Formats: sequence, structure tokens, C-alpha cells
Amino acid sequence: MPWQQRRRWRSPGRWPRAAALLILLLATGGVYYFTRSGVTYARDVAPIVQARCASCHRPGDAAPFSLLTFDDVHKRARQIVEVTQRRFMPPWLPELGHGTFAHDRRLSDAELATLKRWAETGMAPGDLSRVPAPAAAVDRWESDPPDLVLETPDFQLAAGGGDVFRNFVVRTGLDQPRWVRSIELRPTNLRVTHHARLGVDATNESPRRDAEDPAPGYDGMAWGQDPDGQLVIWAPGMSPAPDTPGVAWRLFPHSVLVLHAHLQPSGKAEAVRFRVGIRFAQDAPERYPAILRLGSCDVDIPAGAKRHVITDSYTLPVDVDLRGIFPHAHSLCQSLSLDAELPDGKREPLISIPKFDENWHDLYRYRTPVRLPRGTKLVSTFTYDNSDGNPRNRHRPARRVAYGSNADDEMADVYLQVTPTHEDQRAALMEDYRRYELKAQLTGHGRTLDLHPDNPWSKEAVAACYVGLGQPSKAVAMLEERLRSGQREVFPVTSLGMALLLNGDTAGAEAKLREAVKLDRDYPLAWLGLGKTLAVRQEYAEAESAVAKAVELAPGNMDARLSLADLLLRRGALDRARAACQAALADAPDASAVYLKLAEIDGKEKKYADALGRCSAAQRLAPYTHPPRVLLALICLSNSDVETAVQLLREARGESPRHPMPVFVLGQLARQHRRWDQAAELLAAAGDLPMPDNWPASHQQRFQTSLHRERLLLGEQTKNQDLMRDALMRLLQLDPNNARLKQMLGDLPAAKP
Amino acid sequence: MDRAPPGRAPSLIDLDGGRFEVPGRISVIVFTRSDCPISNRYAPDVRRLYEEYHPRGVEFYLVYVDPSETPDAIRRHLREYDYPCPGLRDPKHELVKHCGATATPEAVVIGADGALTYRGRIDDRFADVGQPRAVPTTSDLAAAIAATLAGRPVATPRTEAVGCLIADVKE
Repeated sequence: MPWQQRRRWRSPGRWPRAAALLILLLATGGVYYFTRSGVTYARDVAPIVQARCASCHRPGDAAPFSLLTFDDVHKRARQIVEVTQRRFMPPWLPELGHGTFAHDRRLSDAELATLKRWAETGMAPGDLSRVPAPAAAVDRWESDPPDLVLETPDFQLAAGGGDVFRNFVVRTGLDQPRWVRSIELRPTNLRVTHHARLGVDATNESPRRDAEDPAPGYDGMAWGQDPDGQLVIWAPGMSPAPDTPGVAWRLFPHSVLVLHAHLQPSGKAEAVRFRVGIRFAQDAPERYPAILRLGSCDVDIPAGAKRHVITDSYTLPVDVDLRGIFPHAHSLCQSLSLDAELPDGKREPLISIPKFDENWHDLYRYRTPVRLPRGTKLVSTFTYDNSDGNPRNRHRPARRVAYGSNADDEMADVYLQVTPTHEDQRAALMEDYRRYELKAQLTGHGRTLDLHPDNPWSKEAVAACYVGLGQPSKAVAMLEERLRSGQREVFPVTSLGMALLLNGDTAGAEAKLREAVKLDRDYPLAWLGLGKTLAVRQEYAEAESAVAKAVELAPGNMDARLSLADLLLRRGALDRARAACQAALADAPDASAVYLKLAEIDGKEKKYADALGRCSAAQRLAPYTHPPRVLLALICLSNSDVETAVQLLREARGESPRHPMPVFVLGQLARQHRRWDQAAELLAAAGDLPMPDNWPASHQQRFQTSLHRERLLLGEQTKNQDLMRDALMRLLQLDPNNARLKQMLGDLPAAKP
Repeated sequence: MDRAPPGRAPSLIDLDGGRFEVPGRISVIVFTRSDCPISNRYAPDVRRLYEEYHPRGVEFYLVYVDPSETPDAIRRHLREYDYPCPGLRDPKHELVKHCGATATPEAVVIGADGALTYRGRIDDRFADVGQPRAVPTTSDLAAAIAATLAGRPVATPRTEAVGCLIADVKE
């Protein structure tokens, strides 16, 4: 660079050094331009910039300018020093010593010092011929070329105005289910793309909303669900998506992908489009992760609060391996952390972000998965500044901010990507987690509702939580309130119908669901709800046509497919029931419930060998279900084939003598056949056996309830008051508010001392 | 308040290579560079100010401070961002020094008498680099133009501009 040389020689104070340098240059062959510090771009600065900056600062990538060449870097030198000293760049939020992450971009103190010295001592180029060629790049996928590349249509973003949240529906065109090994998102316009996240929608809801909006995509925060166990996110500077061998997720043919984009106007009107690159796995994965969202939704930050702290905890019900972590909050959040309190009393920091910045979200991946044993308490802590002094406060003057996904609301989420250490304990983990999540959501939506009492969506969300938590009467009340004050839309009317059905009001449910299908004849969930309601009301023919309509509208909905097979089975249309199951399996070959349904169909025709094969498949896919012979025995019993059932149960007991289920069902049968002694002995034995540790809590609860009901009946039939008393006390432990049980216990004479 | 530098502003270079003198009318100069994302995000704001005040006799100029930016690149940039005002060059940073500008985008308002009435940010949208506010809480440049037009002193004549450091693109 001639001008570079000229500038240095012009500095009058350096003449003597320049002379010395000249001698040195001559002596060394003249390839180095030394400065006082000896720091050169080629030797010292380029390696840092190429490793830590150039993965984004390159043409066509996320950063607003390139840092590939000497000129690029020279032209920003002071700014680079300023932003690196403040650790604003490179963006890397986690604090050292709180979790060890792959792709750590933090600059060491020595690297920081090198950049500073270079900028302050003349910015010498050094021997530029020794600088390795910068990473090529740009329009390139992170790793090998994808097997399938899909694109959204072009979206026109206005030059100015506020941020835009837009959802684009992407059809996969798959005709069979595939395992996805990795997905990459690539915005075509990085100037305006704040971040993007990919969801999967099997409900047909997002295509409907897309169709209602004339421009490509639709606005808002609803974009389907994260793919199974994955967070697929593009954000500037985010670590590359991993391709973990043996981990994959299932993409079903009837699902659409929904790309949720946060767009920021750049100053000129811009077109933006996204490419989605999918790599398929050939085989089913050995394991697949689960996503747990932790953190309180009880977010309610008073106006003006300088340091508002929100904490939460969740205790793991099974051993897990923590693979990645994605903290999420909005603009008021100042810091966050997640710590593990291990059962042995040790505390392990999993992540700490002392200066949170919502612009730099990342899925931080642990260099090696962190084993967290059952009983580990995960504790999250978030702090917020809702004062006027916080420049990122969106409200002037500050105002109360509650939970919600809009940019004006706040959140306190930590998403954990885990794999259960013992794969068969997945169901136990997910059930326990789901209750935690529903309770958290209920609190959060309740807060939002508190702040915005007329918000219809919060009412719908609160009702959905009540349904999930098994409190349909509360859901009914909330939805009735929602419909009194707001528009009669198909979603809340359908939800009310379903809540009424769960609450036992089948006539009310039928009325609401008939109203729902009239409001929107293309809403699959309304048809499914109507079909289920009519089935309960034993109007099987109409139920079947309603459910068939739901399947037609949302072929990806497995619940609808199973309901159809079930209705056909009840109507005795065994071949059509079997065909419905096979169609479901073509889309979802690992749906355990479909195999069970097939076993039921085979059982009806007394094809027990086939049925046993199906039961084995079902149990393999969902290890917490009963042993295959027990499953088949229960099918035989529903067909009144007691003899075969008993034989199967004896075989099952022989195969797994420690499993309580065969013993329990045999005891139940003995009681029904009035073999009292045998029944007493078997039920006592079933109660003594440990429950399998892969049973979810609800399974355990159900089993205990069935067992003690059986014992109560036996006690009644054999006039054994001690047995009755014990069974009633056990049942009351399980259901402490049951008035009928209390009454029965009160009616028994007191126990003899 | 520090004194406005005396005397006429140094001349600039227009996109055809000719000398350009800031006229003796109220003028707004926005220092910029085409590769500064913070400058670019302000394009609609500059346009809005132009539409409001140009009809009232205020001249607007974008002054490109990076000596390596060619007139062609500048013309392309003006077109892309739909700037309504002319682009000029200050490759030797003479006007930059005269006004004391440090970052892009930084605006100055020059009165009809050539005195500098305002220097600083357009508004406070950026609390710092990478720290945009959801909504700006001030409109410093608009207030300065309005005061200068009305012949009143500017209430806050100096503010700190947040953006890309001009010192980095010295010739």
C-alpha cells in the first residue's frame, strides 16, 4: 500500500527509528514493515480477525461490512479496538467458567491487546503474501450440500417503520416421512434479517392464515411448533448447526415448515427470501433429544424497577444429558444464569450471561454433554431493568411489563436440549416436564390477562392450560367468558366444545362443535372434536364422517387418523379400520398407538399371533407401555376371551416375574371369578412389586388407583374390613379430596387395636 | 457552549470532481459513508427532514467521508437509499475537521451566515453501537433546523453522534 508507507514516513518523530528500520529491512530482505510495537497485520492481526470475525464479516453474510482483507480491517481499526475492548464484538455473551461451550468466540486478553497495539502503533501490514486466503464463503451452506433446498417467496419489506414479524409457509413436497439430520436456514437479505426460526405445522393452521393475507406469509408470533427436540434458528453470528451422528428428527409428508422471521427495515425498501436446506438421515436415529423450556412465566415487572429479579426451578425426574442451552428474554433483561443443584449438594453453573443482549441469541452447545442425575434442581435467575434509564426500554415513560412473546412483553426462558440418559425414561421425563410447563404457562398467561383483561388470546391460552392440566370445568368457564366478550371465532368455539366434552357435557359439546363447523367448514379440529363427541354419544355413522373430514383436511393429524381407525373398528368395518391404520403408518411409521390399534383389530378376528407381533412393536416404540403379552391379554379380555387372556398373563409373569402388571390382572380376574384366596394373594403380590422406573407419574398413579380399587372390591366381597380400610386409606392418599371415599372410610367400624 | 468556528466552511468535491462551496443559505450536512449500517438506517429519517424543510429553503447535503468511495459508488448508494439530496465528497476531511465531526452519521446545521448552529446526532435512536432504542426519544437535528430557521439559538447545539468512526477512513 503506497499511501500506507507514505503516512508512516511523514511522522517526523520517527525519523531515527525509520532509519533503523531501513537497515533492518535491508538486513532481513525487506519483507517486514515493522512499527514500534512490531505488531503486524499479516502475522498478528489477520489470524485473529479470520478466526473470530470473518465467519460473519464477509460478503453476503450477516455482518454489515467485511473484514477479509488488510484494507477492510485497516479502514475500521479504531472502531474494531473500541468494540472489542468493550466485548461488544465478537458477540459472545456467556461468562467464562460457567459451562464449557463449543464454538466459543471470546477473544483472549492477549488477542484484545494485540488488536489495540496494532491500531495504536501505525497499523503495519507486514508481509501480506503470508496471510492465508480468507475463507471464501457467502452463499454457501455450512457443511455438505443439502439433499433438499426449499425457498420462501420474495417478501417486500418497507424502507422504514417498526420491526416486522412475518411467517412464511414452506411446503416440503415429501410423499413419505423422512428423518432429518440437519436443517440450515439462509436469508437472502442479511441487512434486514434480525433472526429466523423454523417450526413445523401439522394442523393446517398456518397455510390457512397464509391464504388470508394477500402478501407472502402472515404477521404474528404463531408459527407452529419446534421440530421434535430441536431448535432450528438462524441468527447473525450464531454457531453453526451441529450434525450430531445418530440424532435426527422425523419430518412428516403432510406437515408444512413455517419460517418465522424477525425483520428490521434497513433504510431502503428491500426484498427478502429464505432458503431452507435439509439434509436427510438414511436411518432412524439411535437417540433423539428433547427440548425443555425452563423458567418462570410469572413475569410482571413494575414500571421504574431498576433491578427486578425473577427466579424459577425445576427438578429433573430422570437422568439426562444436557447438550445445548438457548436462553431467551427481551430488551429489559440485563443478566441471566442457570445453575444445577446436584443431588449430592454440589452446585454446577450451567450458563451465566452477565450482560444480556437480545440481539445476540445463540444455541450454546456444551463441548461435552453435561450429565445431570435425577433429582437435580435447575435454578434460573433473570434480572431486568424497567427504568427510564435503560435505553432499551421500549416504553417512555416506563410502564408495567408482563409475560408475553411480543417485543413489548418480557420472558425468562431457558431452552434446554437434553437426551434422557436412559431412552426408555423419555415418557416419564416428558410427562413430568409437561405438567411443569403447563403450570408455568398458566401463571404467565394469567399475568398477561391481569394486565390486559380483554385480551381474547390470553383467555384462550389460559383455557388450553386448564385442559392440559385436567381441569376442564375451569377451561369451560374461561372460554364462555371469552366468547361473551369477543368475536365468535372458530378456534375458541371449538376449544369450548372440547372442554365441555372433557367435562362430561356431551350435549353441550355437540352444540358448540356443530356451531364451530358452521363457522368454518375447513377447520379440521372442529370436525375432529365433533366426531369424538358423536362417538361418545354413540352416533357412530355421523361421527365417522366428521372424523373422515378432519383427516381429509389435516392428514398430518395423528389423533384424527387414530380416531377414524377406532370408529371403523367399533362399527365392525375391520378392513377399513386396518386400511386407516396402514395409511397412518405410512406417514408415521413409529406411532406406537397405531400398532396397538392394529393389534385390537387383529384381536377382533382372533389373529392372536399377528396381534402379538403388533403389541411387541407398540411396546418397542413406547417402552413404558405394558409387556406385549399383557397388552394382548387386555385385548382378549375386551373380546371376552378369558381363557387366552389367563394363559397370556401366566406366560407374561413367567417372562418378567418382577413386573406388577401380569400379577395384578391375574388377581383382578381371580376376584371376578370369586377365587378369593387366590385374588388376595395375587393383589398383595402385585402391590409388593416395584413399579417400573420408566412409568410416567400418571401411569404410576393409575396403576396404584386400579390396584387399591381392586383390593377395596375384594374387601367388600369378602367382608374383610381391614382390607377395605387399608385400601380406602391408600386411595385417599392418591385422591385426598374424594368425599365418597372419606364417607366410606367413616362408615367402617374403627380398627381393632 | 463552544463557539462555532469562524469563517466559511472549506469547499467540498462534487461527484463530477468539481469544487463545491456550501451556499450562504441554511444548510444541513450529514456526514456519511455507504458501508455504515447506522448511517443507512437513517436514510428514511433524512428523507423525511428533507421533505419537511427543503421546501422552506433549507439545503441538504450528504457528505461522504471515505476517500476510497468512488463517485459511481456514491451515485449508486444515493439511488438505492432514495436520497433526495446531492452527495458530495470530503476525502481530506477538511470539512470534517472544520465541523469537528467524529462519526457517521453526524449532522451539522450551518446558518445563512456560515456559522455552525448544531453538530451531532440526528436523534438518539442509537444509545451506543449495537444498542438501538425501540423508539428515539429526541429529535435533535429537527429541533436544530427549526431553531435555526426561526433565528433562535439551538437549545442543545452539541450532541454526541453514535456510529462509524470517521478517523478510521483517513486518507
